[in-house]
Amino acid sequence: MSRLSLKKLKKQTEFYVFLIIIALAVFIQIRSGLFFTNNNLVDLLRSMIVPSIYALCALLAFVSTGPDVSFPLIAALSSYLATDIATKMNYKGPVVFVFLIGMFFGMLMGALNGFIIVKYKFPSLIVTLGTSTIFSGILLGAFEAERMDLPESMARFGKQSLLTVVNAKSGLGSTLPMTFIILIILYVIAYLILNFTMVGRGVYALGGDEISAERAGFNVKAIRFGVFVVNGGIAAIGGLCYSIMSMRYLPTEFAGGEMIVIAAVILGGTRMTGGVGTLKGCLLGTLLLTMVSNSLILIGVAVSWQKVFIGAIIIIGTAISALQSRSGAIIKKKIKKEAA
Amino acid sequence: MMKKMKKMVALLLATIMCLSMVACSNESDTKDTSKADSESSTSSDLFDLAQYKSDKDKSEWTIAVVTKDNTANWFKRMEIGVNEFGEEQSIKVIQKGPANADAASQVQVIDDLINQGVDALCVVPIDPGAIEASLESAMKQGIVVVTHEASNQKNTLFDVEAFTSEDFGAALMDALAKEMGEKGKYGMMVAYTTSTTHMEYAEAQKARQEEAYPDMELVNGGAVPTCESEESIDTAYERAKEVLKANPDMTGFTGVASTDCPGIAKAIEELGLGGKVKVVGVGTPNEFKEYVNSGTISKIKLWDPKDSGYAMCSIAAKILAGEEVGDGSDLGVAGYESVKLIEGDNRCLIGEADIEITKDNIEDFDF
Repeated sequence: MSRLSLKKLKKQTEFYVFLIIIALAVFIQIRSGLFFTNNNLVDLLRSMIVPSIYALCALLAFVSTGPDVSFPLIAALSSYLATDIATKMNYKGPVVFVFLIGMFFGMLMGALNGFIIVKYKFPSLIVTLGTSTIFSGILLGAFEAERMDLPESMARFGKQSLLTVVNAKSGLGSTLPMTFIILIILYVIAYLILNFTMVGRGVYALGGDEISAERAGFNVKAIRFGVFVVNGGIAAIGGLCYSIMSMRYLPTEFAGGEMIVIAAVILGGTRMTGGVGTLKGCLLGTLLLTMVSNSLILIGVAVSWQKVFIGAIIIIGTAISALQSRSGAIIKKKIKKEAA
Repeated sequence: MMKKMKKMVALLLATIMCLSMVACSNESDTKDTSKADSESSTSSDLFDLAQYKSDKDKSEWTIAVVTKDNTANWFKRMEIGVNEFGEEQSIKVIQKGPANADAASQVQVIDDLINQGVDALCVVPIDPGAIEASLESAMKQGIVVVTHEASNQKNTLFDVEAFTSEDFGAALMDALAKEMGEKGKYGMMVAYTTSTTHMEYAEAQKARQEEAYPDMELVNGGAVPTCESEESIDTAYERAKEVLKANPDMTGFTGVASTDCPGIAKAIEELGLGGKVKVVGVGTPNEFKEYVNSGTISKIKLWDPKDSGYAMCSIAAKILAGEEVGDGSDLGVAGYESVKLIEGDNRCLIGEADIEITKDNIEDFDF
């Protein structure tokens, strides 16, 4: 039984990413002696929050349709609108309301993506590249967004903490913000929908083979449109979490975040060609890249070499999982041949 | 059909990712080609001020100021000085910034302005190397080019600085040393290792420390800088936390981009190191107020971007008018009444315009 499950594990990309993570963690621990300390682990969790939320957008888009690169700008624009409206209203109530405003605008922007992609059958990469430029123009041109302080409801939420640890040895503290709960809720919802509902299975079916999905009775257009609307909403949540965690709204810090998130998702085993990808893989890929970018100073890599390191990890990680899945496919073919 | 398209999309995406990664390495190429160009063509003429004298009336001039990031308070303050100059001299001035604070977007803004036919470009470069080619083509078209915070920019008629990087870096170190009691370990943060001025400040801080404060020590075996904030408060916070974790015995931190110190201060407060680790840095009073008042940031050293914006426009207008600009020129604004000319990679006009802000005088500066 145990041998069987190990065999199954070996076929999963996630398993290899997991191995890389363990190896890296041990390496960092040996080099710096600081990896397995309570404050470092909490810091790592904190750093993962926003990229993991964005990773959901990337995953849903890849699995169902193709790349979506618009989430950072949707996040920027929708969280700007929500923050601005809450500030102007002098809103002091529960922060949920601010999130709802943000999600409303985010879903509106996502709907624009979805509409163009579904109606005109344009490639999602081009459409989302285009819309991100538009959103960026609206944000910095039309609204002239600038750095701003958060309204009271958001600031209060940002100051609360879920968990505070103090490292007994070094006396250094670390706090896990409340936004971590949002991350957990999002992943639980995504897990339930993707695995236990028809719509969720439809998302995978659609990316695997569109025509078969349609013949199987899935409403392909509605599901695809829905994915982009949902993506807009998730991006808005990510953007608000980012603002809450930095305690300020920073309009120019969103753009450019998509590449590392997409790299993380691909690392986690999501196929760029659709139909394949797991939440587990998403989290592991994000964890790996966050670990790398947050530990280079700990292990003493010189500033100018840090980007080389990150690039190398992306390539090595993707290569290992690609080779592994290819060898899996070859074995399958062999078995088929033998059977024939 | 669908499969094929998906493959193409995948390929396209991969290409974009590759391109964005090699974007940095491209800089050196453009630098080389621009150098080769200027050597083969009439390079000496390009820097002859006389040929930039404008035939148009002063009221028809357009002076464009290009910033790193127009949304930052720093450059909003600069805009005040730029507009002040425009009103006083009745010259049309515009200030533009890239949509994202990265070198490629800034090149785009500069190229757009060249195409619009402005008479002068005053640029605060994100990465001087990346915009050499654009600035050179502007000068070839007779557009006056003035820069700020880029003492190594080659294709510029004048670079204006509030002070020499050496003096300012030394002043930062003096301020930090005083806070730290002239002993202990410290770290330094810059925005990018490609930000020339930031690196000069960093080098000058270290040089000053080695010369005057032997009991102080830069962490990581003296590597300059200790870390990069990438012009992001959140990244500054993450990196500062990492540096402080790796060096639990350090007692000082400096940051030279406006994003650095708020990030460092946030990390220090969260780690529970407030009061133990002193912070001295460059930035704007308003954004630092909370941390200066709480005591986490001890001192802000800076120059007033309002005045440097004014000074840049003033130089550009003088050149357009055919007036003499050089050692001892009066740019008409405090701190730049008699600028010093230093010729290095370019002609650098240097004022004496540094200011120090502490808890006591922070209310006097509103930007």
